[in-house]
Amino acid sequence: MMHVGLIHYLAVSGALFALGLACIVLRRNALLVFMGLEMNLNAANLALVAFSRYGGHAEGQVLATFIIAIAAAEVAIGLAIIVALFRQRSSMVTDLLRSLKG
Amino acid sequence: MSDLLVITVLLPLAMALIGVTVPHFSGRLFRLIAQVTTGLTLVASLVLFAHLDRAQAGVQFASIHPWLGQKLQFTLGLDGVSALGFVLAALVGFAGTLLGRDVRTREKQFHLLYLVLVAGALGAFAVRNLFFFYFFMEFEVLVAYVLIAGWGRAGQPDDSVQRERAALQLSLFASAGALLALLGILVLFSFAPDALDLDAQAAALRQTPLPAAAANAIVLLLAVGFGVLLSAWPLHIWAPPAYAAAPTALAMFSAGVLKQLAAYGLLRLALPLLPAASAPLAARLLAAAAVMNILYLGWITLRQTDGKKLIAWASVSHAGYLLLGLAALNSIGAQGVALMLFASGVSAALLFGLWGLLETQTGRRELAAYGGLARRAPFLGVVFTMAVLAALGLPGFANFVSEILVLLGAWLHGALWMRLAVAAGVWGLVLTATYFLRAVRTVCFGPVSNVTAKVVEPHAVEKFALVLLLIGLFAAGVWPRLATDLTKHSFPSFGNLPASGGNTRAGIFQALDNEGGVTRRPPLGGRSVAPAGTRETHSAVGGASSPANPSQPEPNLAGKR
Amino acid sequence: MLTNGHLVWLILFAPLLAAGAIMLFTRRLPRVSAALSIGAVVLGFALSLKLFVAVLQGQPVVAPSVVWLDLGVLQLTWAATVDRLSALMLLVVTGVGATIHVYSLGYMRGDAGFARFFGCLSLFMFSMLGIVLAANFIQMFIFWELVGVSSYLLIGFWFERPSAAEAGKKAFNVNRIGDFGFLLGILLVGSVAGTFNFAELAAKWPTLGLSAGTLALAAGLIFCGAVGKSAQFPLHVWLPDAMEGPTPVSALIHAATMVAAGVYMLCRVEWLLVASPEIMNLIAWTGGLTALMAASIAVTQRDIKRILAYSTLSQLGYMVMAVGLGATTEAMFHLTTHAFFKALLFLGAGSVIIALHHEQDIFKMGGLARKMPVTFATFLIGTLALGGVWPLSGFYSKDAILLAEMDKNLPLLVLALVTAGLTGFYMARALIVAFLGQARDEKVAGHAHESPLVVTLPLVLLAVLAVVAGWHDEIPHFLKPEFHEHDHGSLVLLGFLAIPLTGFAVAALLYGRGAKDDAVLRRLLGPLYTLLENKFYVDEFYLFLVDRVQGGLAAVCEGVDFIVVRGLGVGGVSGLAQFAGWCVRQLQGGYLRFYLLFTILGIAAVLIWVGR
Repeated sequence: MMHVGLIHYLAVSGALFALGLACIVLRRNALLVFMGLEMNLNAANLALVAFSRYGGHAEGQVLATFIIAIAAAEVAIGLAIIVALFRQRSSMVTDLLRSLKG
Repeated sequence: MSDLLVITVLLPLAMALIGVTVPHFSGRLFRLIAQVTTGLTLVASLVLFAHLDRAQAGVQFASIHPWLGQKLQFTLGLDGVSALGFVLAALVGFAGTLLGRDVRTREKQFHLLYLVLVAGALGAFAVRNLFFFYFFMEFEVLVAYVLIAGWGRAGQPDDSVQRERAALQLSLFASAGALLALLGILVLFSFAPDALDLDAQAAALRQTPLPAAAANAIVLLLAVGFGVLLSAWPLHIWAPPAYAAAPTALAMFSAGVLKQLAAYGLLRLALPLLPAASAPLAARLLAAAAVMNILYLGWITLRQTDGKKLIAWASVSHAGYLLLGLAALNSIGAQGVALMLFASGVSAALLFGLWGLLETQTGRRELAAYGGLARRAPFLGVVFTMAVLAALGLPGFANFVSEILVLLGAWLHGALWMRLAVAAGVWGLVLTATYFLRAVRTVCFGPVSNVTAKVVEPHAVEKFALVLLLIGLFAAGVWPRLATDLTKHSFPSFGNLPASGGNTRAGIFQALDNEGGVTRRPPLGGRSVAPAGTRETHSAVGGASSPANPSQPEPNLAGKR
Repeated sequence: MLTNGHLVWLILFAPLLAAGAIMLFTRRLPRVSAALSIGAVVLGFALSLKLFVAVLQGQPVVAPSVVWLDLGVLQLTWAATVDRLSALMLLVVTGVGATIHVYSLGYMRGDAGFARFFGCLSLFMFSMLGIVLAANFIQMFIFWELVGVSSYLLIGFWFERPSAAEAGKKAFNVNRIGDFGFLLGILLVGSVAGTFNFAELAAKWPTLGLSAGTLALAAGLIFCGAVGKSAQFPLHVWLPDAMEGPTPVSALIHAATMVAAGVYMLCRVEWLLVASPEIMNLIAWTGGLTALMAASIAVTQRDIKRILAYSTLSQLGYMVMAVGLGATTEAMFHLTTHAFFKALLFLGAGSVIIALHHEQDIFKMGGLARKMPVTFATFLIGTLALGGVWPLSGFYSKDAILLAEMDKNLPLLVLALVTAGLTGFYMARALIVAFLGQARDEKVAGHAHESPLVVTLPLVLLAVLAVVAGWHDEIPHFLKPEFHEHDHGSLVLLGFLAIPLTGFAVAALLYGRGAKDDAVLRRLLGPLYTLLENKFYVDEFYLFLVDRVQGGLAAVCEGVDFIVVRGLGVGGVSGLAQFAGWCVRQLQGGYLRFYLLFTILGIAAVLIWVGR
């Protein structure tokens, strides 16, 4: 059996982060952008917990807890904004939000 | 006295800051604040002017305020030329508050900004450091932009677009020019840091003389920077629309003080840095620009049918005379320019002020709409005619003396091409007569038109302002020694150095005076048979040891340059 | 103790003080204004007389001077010249001026601008006296301009009349063109000689060793000033239009004094002109051609003031011609006598004009001799003097010039004689048509009556002067004690006399029988008449030059400037700034994704850079 070390966790975390980033950048639908954002946050959580476990201290886990809470709050607000926007524009496509065009 | 100078410069600024805290009860309150403040500055400036010691060259009422270390100190003071400019700024500033009836909205902001504008101009004339002069000048441009964009009237269908465009052009051009000037200043600073200080410039340049290339570059950069505000061809483009779009008080101030500020900068700050070797080229360029201003822009002035635009273009065209006087590069031309600062400033202010009075009452700008003003409102008609006659260069007004000095100074340069430029300048007088008298004929004479019927005589306060400006022109015109007694010391005072080859700053006027054959000539002008009461002839320029050459053969008309 | 020197300044400044007082304080008080103005000029006359006597006795008169402009290298002194030339001119100006001031009391009675008129007249007197007394070129130029402005204000006095306003503007502009040359000439002379003072220049100029070209250029440019002020061809066009002004103005300014200033100036700077024989020739021919041209135009004019205006042009031509021949004394002689009889004629015309309620067309007049005897008698004297009939003053002065010509320039003499004949003709034409016979238009000329004393007294005074001023050659002898006329015998003088008499005779023939208009003359001259009536189309030509040529030039400049504005402005600084802005703006597409992308890329870049 392969010994699972820190590096594997970080690799997964990195991959998750990259996927989340790709999601954010490449998706046009605001909800999907949010999903990507969540993925990013969770990737960061994973990395933090991994470090915490392999580093032998508790800070990582504490921070991860914080992040979960913040993510929840942020999702709530973000979804509220998206819902408001949807009600206004009847669409979720971010490309249409161009009022602040320079 | 030096305290008085500092107070006078800071007073408008202080009042502006105080005024910000005052709630906007009524527009008239702020107008009153502006009037009182500028009135006080005018009185103070006249007091300072009267107390200037006529016999002393160099700076007076000096005060030093450390700002940024040794090199950049905020020094104030007045000498002959800057005193003229100082009084000009105070006078026009005051008149502007009295005559500017056309600001009806957001008076608080306007008048407080106007006070800042006046403070800036006063400061610019009073500072003795090139960097600070630049600072104040840029500042003025900024404030002018805001004032035009916010309160201007372009008098055309798409009014706000026009005035914003005019304001934008003004600020872009002036800022671009000012950036170049700043570059020049920085170059100068890098070579000779002490040279930024006007009064120490001569000594500094003696210690660390500038390489010719650097000096040329500096002068060129400064000249472009100042030339934009002076509306020299081809940098004049922004000026007519800006003046035409500006509210009355600002138009008066822009054409009356800001332009003169730029001329002062060129005269007092830029040209003295010119190495003698570059003098011929500089003279050619300045003379060429002068001719273009006078003739080319003068011809365009002929075509104007809108009153405010006519005055704006005429003002721009007459900057050519300032350039011509500068091109002469001798003390007569320089003194002519100094007097012309005052004369052209006051007369431009007078014309714009008058037009503002007319336009706010009738709302019309086309000259053809008016007629018979002299019958309907005789005071306005008379003052309008007198203002025009002054601008034409009628003897009795300061404009005449300054124009004669400028023309004479340029003529004495001696080169044929310069004399042709002088001829162009004299033809410019013919052109001026043509378009201005046409305006007077249309507006003041003839039967009273419908538009003119709406005009009423100005209030006592406005009459006072107009008369004040006229008195200024008269005083300097009938007794020009009021001004020249001061300035005749200013130019030799640029540096009483022996004419040491002319590569130092100070040498410029002496060296060129020698080239033009002026220095050693016996004084021009007449004395009657057996003079009873004539003053003693003053010794020629400089007084220091110039090479003795009692009688030069007079330069022939076919000059050698 | 007031020396004669102080009196000089009093003469000059009294009218200025009067003008100032009138304009500022007494505008609503017509009588006071008139009193101030007349008082100033009469005082001036009295003092001028005193000075005249002093100069006659050979006492030097030195006016205290003051340094007006002190620039270190350059000094200009405010001083006065009192010599024979200026003493004579002072008398003429103040004397004729005083009579005309008194006349104006009657002529301008009831006019709303009565006080303003006297204020302007006083301003003019100040300016004119300044020209007479000027001691250097700059002073003279100052007063030259001031006289121009006074003239502008007085021509356009009835400013609500568009034609008057236009005429004033035209006068000023044309004068400015002359001043263009004048100022350049002044600059040249001053720079070359090192001084502007007349006395110093007179001594220095011949010794400077200048090239013929420079001498000619200087003389020619200075002459330009005289061409403008004295209305010589080609700058003569303003004078006929100047008749828009009130008649006293025409008499004072455009006959006796201001236009004579050009001649006076030329005499003052004789040393300058004499140095250049080519320019002298030019001057003489300009004068001659102007004289002939003006006289021929006068033949066809109907407005009595225009006739007199062209007559003035013609006589000024005589004076200029004399200057060009070096006969400055003769020129000044004629200037003096001309001042008398031309002022007389103008005032007489004015008397007629007010009697006929401002009718000026001679072909509406007639039979006025009976109704206005004093006016007629004095007008007759004026006509005879102008024609050059012995023993009136005009005979002596004109013949002095003709005799000088006989010596120096025969072609010009022929020209002058032809002009003299034409002069006799058109003046007699005017006299006969206006005064003799029957009234052509009863409504207009039917109930004319003689003008009041305040009008006729000046007429009589001037008539007396017009008669006696030439006797014994007093005037030329005063100017130049060693003066003597060129003597060619009495036969020649009789010949000279015959010519204007012939002119009279022809006029009597054509108009003696109550002609209603110029039909006969029109037939005789054919197309020439139209040419003359339209003043040789010079005005039209100038209009073309100004409107088409200069106007076209101005339009081109405006077009070019517009393109330059587009180029430098739109393509230049503003354009550059806007383009730069546009470039940067592309990044702000509003696409959220791009913002995010850039943010991420930016952070990555920073991290990499920091991590190095």
